[in-house]
Amino acid sequence: MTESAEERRLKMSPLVTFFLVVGLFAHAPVFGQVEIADPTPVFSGIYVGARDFVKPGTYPLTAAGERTLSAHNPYVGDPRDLDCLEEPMPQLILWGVAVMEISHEDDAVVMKVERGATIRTIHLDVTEPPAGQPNTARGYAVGRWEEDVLSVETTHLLGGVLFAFEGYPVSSNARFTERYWRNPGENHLQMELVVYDPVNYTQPVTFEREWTWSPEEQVQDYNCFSLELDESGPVDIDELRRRLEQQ
Amino acid sequence: MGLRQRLMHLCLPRDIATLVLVGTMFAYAPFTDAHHSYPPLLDENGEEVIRVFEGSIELFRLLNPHSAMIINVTNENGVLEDWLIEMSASFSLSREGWSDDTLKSGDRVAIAVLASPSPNRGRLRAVLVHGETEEEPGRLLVAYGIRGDTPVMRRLRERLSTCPDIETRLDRTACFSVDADALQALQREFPGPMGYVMP
Repeated sequence: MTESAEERRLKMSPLVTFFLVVGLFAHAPVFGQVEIADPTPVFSGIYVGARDFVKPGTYPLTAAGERTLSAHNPYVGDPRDLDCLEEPMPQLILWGVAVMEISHEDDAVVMKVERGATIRTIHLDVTEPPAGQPNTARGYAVGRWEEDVLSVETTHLLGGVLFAFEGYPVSSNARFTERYWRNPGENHLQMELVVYDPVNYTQPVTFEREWTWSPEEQVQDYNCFSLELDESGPVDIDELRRRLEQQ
Repeated sequence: MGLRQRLMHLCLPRDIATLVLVGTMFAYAPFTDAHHSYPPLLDENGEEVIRVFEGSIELFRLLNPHSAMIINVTNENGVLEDWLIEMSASFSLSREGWSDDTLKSGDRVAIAVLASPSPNRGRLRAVLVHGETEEEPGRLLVAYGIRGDTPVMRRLRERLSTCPDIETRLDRTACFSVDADALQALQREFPGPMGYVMP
């Protein structure tokens, strides 16, 4: 007895349904998860750092750190705190009013910070700084993607203070780690900065800040004009007047 | 597992994360803003010295990292002096609506400054720019020591209207419109030179 076409169709139907369902699960995103086309998210854009953010209530200073802090004169300031220099790390990501543009290049993430017209490059094509890397104000930053989190490690710094005016010290052997990520459904960037500096701190020092996605903003030209910070005597107003009028 | 149970199951880790985050935030203090170094002049009680002058603006520029004006004032002894007064960065002030024309050469002002060890340099606490005529209201611009959520700022907000062209979006400055009646009322209530912007 031969099967009719209708009988064969009815027999095959559960099998077809099974493969159809398996095929769907194999290709469709699982319910509740966001499909990520590119494993490295693009953070490109302009952000404004939240004015209020968190830092340690107390700094776990070592004895050496206490001595350095006590010796710091905030009104003389850190030698890097000169008006028209590019901002050092980590000050450039800790200023109260901070506008930053992030762009992705082939092998790097580039941060352009308005204050000081500062450019910072986070290298993605290496796992450690090159041999002979000199110590600089922003050090050498190596980044890598950990799923959708950009992790950065910065070394080879000049040392000085974490933040001008407050005077908490940081040594040239310090190491900074940063993590940047977006919470689900948001374009804002979350930042965690951890300072590892056994010379000055008994424990890592952590800062946390949100960077608000601000496409309406732009990184303005800095056009720096130094009023000079020498406070030892009266301001030469005639000289200042001349410089300002030439500006 | 029903949809509701599934949602509750999904939410639980988030709730725990929120608790951890809140706990972590309580363990930290809010970060307060700071600037490039300014040496304040302190009195014998450790308070910042505030000086008040009448004078006129000679020159004003929006600059980075600090805006500046030169003012010509008469000091307490009746001697003419030129002062450098510093303010917030151009990139901050311009975002609050300031331009190089916000203060003009020749504007008559009463000004309160936070003095520095330098004898002719200070930071702007407040400047009252008089109107060009008796009828034209003046503008009271406030900055260091007042900006933000401070008692003086609350005092001014309760009594004065704000200027339409300055938006206090970064808490660098604020601007209030002050007509003759409002100024007299302030002076009665807060006597002394620019008593209305004093601590």
